[in-house]
Amino acid sequence: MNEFKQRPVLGLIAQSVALVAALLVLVVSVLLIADHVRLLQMDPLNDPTLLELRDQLANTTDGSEAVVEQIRTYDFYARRAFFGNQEQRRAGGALLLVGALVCFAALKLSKHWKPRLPTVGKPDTPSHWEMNNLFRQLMAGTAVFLVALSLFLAFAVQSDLAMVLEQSVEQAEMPAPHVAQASLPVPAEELKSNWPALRGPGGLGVAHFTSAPVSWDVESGDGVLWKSEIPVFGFNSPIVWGNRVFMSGADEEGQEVFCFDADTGEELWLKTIVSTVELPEVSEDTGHAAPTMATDGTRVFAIFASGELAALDLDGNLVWQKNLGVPENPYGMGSSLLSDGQRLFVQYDHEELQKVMAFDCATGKPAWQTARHHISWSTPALIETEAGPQLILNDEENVTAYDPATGKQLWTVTCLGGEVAPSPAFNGKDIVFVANEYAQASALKLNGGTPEILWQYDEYLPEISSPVAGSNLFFISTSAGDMICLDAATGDVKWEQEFDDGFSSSPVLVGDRIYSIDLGGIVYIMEATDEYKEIARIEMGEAVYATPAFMDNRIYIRGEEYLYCIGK
Amino acid sequence: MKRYVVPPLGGFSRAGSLWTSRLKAVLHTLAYVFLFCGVANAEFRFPMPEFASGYEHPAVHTPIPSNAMVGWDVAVLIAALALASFLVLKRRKRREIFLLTMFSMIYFGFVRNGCVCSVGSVQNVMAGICDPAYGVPLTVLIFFAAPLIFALLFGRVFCAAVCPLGAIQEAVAIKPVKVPPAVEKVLSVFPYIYLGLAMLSVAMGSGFLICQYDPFVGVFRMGASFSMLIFGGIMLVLGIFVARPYCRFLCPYGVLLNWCSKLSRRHAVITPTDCIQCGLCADSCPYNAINEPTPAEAPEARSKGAWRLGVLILLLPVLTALGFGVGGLLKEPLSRLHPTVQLAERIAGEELGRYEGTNIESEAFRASDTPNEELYAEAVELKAGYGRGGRWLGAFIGLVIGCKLISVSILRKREGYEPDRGTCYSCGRCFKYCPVKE
Amino acid sequence: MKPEENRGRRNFVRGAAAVLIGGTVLSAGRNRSPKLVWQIDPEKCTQCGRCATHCVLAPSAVKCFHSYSICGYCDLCGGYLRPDAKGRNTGAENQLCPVGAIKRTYIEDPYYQYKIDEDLCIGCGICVKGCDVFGNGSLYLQVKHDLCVNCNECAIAHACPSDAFKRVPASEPYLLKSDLERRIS
Repeated sequence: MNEFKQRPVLGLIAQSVALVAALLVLVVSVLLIADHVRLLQMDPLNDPTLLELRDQLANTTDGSEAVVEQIRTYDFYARRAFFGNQEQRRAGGALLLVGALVCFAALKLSKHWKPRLPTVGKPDTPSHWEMNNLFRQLMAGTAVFLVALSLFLAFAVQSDLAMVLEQSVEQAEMPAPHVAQASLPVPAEELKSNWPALRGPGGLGVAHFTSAPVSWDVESGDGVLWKSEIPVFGFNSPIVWGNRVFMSGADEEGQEVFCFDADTGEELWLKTIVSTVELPEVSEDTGHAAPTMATDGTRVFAIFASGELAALDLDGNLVWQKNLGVPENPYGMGSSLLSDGQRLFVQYDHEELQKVMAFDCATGKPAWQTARHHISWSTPALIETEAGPQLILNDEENVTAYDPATGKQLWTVTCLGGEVAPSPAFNGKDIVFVANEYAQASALKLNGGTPEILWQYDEYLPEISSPVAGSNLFFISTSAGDMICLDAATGDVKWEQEFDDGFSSSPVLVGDRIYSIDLGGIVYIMEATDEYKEIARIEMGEAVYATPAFMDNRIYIRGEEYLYCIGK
Repeated sequence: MKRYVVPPLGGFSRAGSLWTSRLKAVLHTLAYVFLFCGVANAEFRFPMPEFASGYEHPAVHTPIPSNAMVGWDVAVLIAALALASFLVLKRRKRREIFLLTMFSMIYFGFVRNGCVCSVGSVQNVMAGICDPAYGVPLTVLIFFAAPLIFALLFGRVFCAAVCPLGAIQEAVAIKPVKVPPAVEKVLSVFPYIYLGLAMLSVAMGSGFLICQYDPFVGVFRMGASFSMLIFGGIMLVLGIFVARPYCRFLCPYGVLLNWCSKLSRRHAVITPTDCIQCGLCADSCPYNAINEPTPAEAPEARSKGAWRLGVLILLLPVLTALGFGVGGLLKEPLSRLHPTVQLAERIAGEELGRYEGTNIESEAFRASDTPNEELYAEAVELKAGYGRGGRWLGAFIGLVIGCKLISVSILRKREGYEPDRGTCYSCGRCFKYCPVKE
Repeated sequence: MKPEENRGRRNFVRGAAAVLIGGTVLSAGRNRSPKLVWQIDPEKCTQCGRCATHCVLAPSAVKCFHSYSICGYCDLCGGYLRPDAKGRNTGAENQLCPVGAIKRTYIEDPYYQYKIDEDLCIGCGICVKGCDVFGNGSLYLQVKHDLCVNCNECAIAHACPSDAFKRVPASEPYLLKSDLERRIS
């Protein structure tokens, strides 16, 4: 039998069949790939129209019939598209397989009917020796390529893990030189004799001067040392260092930091912080300058809704400035700054990214940062415990303590909920208090490890204003206008008092008195004792959102339009 | 002021107002349930009801995996290997070999979905060696060993007609062009690299690379990830012109078969009797697997060749050492094959603020409450392992390159046209081109 | 070199190779196991949704299983109804399942039975999450072995973020949440 017999007609037929089958295969493949690409872009089960309709339904209260009807229709189409597509793919795959089978079978047959005749020793085949030489050269080239590829990969692939481990080793081994080149620590006493942050030293709402005035009259000016107009509005509170008062303000036009003479009320300077990014959309209730400034005694720090963080010296000269990334936040940036004299702490918990950062006060260099996992509008508090200082942060779920030197998490307790704005409170010794509307108030007893929950209370809870604690008592003021005093050790209600207007400003404990200002601008002064006793109620004559600053014989109150210095 | 989202706590109670109306009955049920299965019930939010209507729980459909074919697979494998050996060595008919190849493609491929195949079984065996706790089923052991034993006896008859991956490529090899022999030899280093990588991956526990990048299993199953299908499609289209591209330039199991086949007791021959050196067969082989007779006159002096060989033999340890050194540098990129290292890098990157938010893996990890340090420690240990493994991988590749250089530089005496025992797939194409008949 | 010598050496090397193969097989097989299949450990599963997308089969061989014996038969079912659902009927606007694979039937006041239609289920695990958060956790994902082709390396196992896939003996191929379950094969 001649294995090389030619049957040209049969061969030609087979070739034509193969061609047709190949075209079919090509068309089906293109269709399937196109279908896949289309499906990548449009996921029928997560059809945007359907999702939008579902949202719409969720936001209506009555459950509108028309929307329901639309959802049902769209859902039906989505499912039909999904399953129909799967069916199409299966059919396409089977068609592809059959087409390929026919094509290859026909090609094999055509080869059988029109076999290629054997040829002998092609003239262009390189000889044995040349081939070997060529091989050696190519092999050497390949080896060089492999080495180069390896080197490239070795240097191209960088390890974040190595960096994190290096950092932790650095932090563990040489904290001393790191601090030496950074700013010098400020004595705690000096911080305490000023009002360096929101709610005073450590952000705890406890004043160390107990000589604040208890009577004044804004209208007549009795007991009011001075009153100055505030150049730019902002929800933040005044801070005081020595004989200077600092505040910030911002709107779509610009971001400003300004300074007043504490004795005369003269505006000493106003510095514009130029934003390096486009200003984000913020809620009117938060504005562009909700976070209160902080100071380490040498510099003042301000942050705005744009994520722009700036350090200025006390004369208003820019020391450093950086943008921390525009926060994605439905209301805007709310958390205020806090400094321990060496480091500036920024709680940066937003929708996409949550972290707490510490910067060197002098240089602005990041000292550490630690990832967090929930959004928050609360301001950190810095407490002194037996085991050393702890930085306490609130978020949607947890209270978490960090080591202010390294950023290492010390403990965390899940006891919060809702959208948290109030800061933690501290009894000065061993109990941390947290509270938020839609969760509860909790007292956490520090014991070295994870604190135990002493008691919880869930009746009147704060929404914006932060609670404050004395050594035996714990005070809450609510947005509905209630003021509650609880026993710090047991959580028993000592007294409850209802006022006309809600509180946004936080109460401050001044010796054995509590100062609290409601939204209508009425300053309530009451005794910080087991029984409710009002000392005075004084009208400021304008709305007050900010927490006042307490210095020796003086109170600085930021109203909506004016800054007041109460005292002599 | 603020927008409030009331958390849906306690939003789900059993039947709303119906619940209270049936309080008495329910209390009764509760008491009953707590009495009889108090402990088991403690973890559930809702008590399991007692039905008054005599309703019974429907049964759950739990079909057991089909086990019937497993014994058959082994039997078919052995029978196919034996038949292939017979066809290649005795019958010497290309068409019959091809029919068996098509049978294997249909049975091991489309019917049995291409799993487990001998190519992948290398990894199971390696896993069995490295991890004493990993049990290798007998079927897999036979799938690994039988083709190798047959290769030791009769050459690569497994590739010729049994391997489903080889078969599908054999089916599409319509118009094979000849790859220049020098290029072919250089590309044949890649299966060694692939084998080395796959073994390293298994030894370190980062998964079965060969299965993840199997180009044809998606075709056999009529479904796979898009990229796998595209890879398979490209391989098949390429296979029309470059016969068996996977077998020649990637298949890691082919490396082992190549070694065994070099030692084969009986290998397929082109001519049944003496070669008349017509050269017709050399043209028929699409795999460059037919060695020509030694050329009569050498264009270079014998001494020059010997000197070069000496240099290359001395180069062998140098190349191995170079590979050893370079391989060690690959610690970082290689370790990224491992999911734990990937996760640790991701978490570390998140801590550094390098990523916006989390991904599925890091979320699952954070939900597990494992401390970061534990993960980091594990990743560091794995990386060290990859560092060591990378060195051995590099040394292995250096050694292979050195050996290949030496092997082409040795002058072998050949009287006639012979199949290369290592690379010949015993496909039988050359049989019909040989004019010498028995 | 004489051909006989050559042959003797070849035989020796061949024998050595055979011994090597045998040794490899023995050392790999010292811990021989029965046939193994892939299964999901419901305790580890985090319902990431990859079971629906990463299986080599379409639709996935992973399906939602329902352990009736631990189900509360709630009217207000967290696995069946969307958390923001306004009603409790079977309307598409209320259902959590994107493909409508859960069939709800009334048993007796106030109990409803939920049954998974395996032909429709795509193994996305959305209902599992709902049942875990608001219910008894009687819904969970399992690999269905009449569908699974038992890949040497399961593609979903490779993609699983919580390491929930494991190999189990083919004789006990399911990790059911309740042993009280009546089964049919």
